[in-house]
Amino acid sequence: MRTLIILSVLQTVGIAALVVHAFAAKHSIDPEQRPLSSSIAQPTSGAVPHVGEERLRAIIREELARLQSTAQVNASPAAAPSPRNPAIDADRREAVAQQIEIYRGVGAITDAQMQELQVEIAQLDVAGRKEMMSKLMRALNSGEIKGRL
Amino acid sequence: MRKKHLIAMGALVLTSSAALAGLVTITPVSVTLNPDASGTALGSMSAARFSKNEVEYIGCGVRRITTGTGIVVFGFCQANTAAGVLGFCESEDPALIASIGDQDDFSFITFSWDSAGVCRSIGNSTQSFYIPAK
Repeated sequence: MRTLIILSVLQTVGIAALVVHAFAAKHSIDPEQRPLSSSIAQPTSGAVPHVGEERLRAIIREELARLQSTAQVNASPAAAPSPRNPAIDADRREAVAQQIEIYRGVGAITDAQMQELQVEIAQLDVAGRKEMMSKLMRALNSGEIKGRL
Repeated sequence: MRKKHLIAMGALVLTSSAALAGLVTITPVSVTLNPDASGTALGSMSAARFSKNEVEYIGCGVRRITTGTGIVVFGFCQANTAAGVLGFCESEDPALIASIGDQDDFSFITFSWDSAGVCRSIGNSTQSFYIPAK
């Protein structure tokens, strides 16, 4: 029983010490070292120790706008569709047509080959895609190529 | 003793009758091919799946493929009858592709295509009577 009381007192003292330590630490942090991210927390005039709420909001808005514009600039090249090259499109269409002819000659197409062929057809321009899909569908419907989509 | 047996048998008969309640419609896959290469197909998924043969099927799907210019989305339907008559179509029409998403395990599916193999219609009906009997 006595041991328990001693342990309890020690625990209370420990908690009190932690609270005092945390309180002291909170008030001793220099305004320049507050845990704000470097790009946002830096006041424009280094002489002002406390930043007002409005000023902080303004800084955050500015930083967000800057980040957004940077993101747009970075995203633009990837998002922009690459222009089509008619010569390459024609070559691709010819290659797909030949592929379909090969499957027609064989009389069958496996699921994996069909998957691959569909990916190839998808790379074509709209007109080429329609033409090659139609070629494939007619070959399947006529039974010239046995397979599944 | 004999009376008890009769009562038990009667109860069993009544219970099994209750288990068979409800309409069940078996609609095998049917494909019609026209001389101009257009056609139609219909059938229920459950009838195809639980048919006695190993060739019958019907269904639709969607493919989304990334390309250099974006994502190409196309839907397709396919069917095969017990006799091996095949029907296929594909479409890039967003409304038809959306209808494919409405299909369910026990859907009755219909689709038709033009002479180019492009889907003209894709339909489905999900009904209790397409669910196979236990």
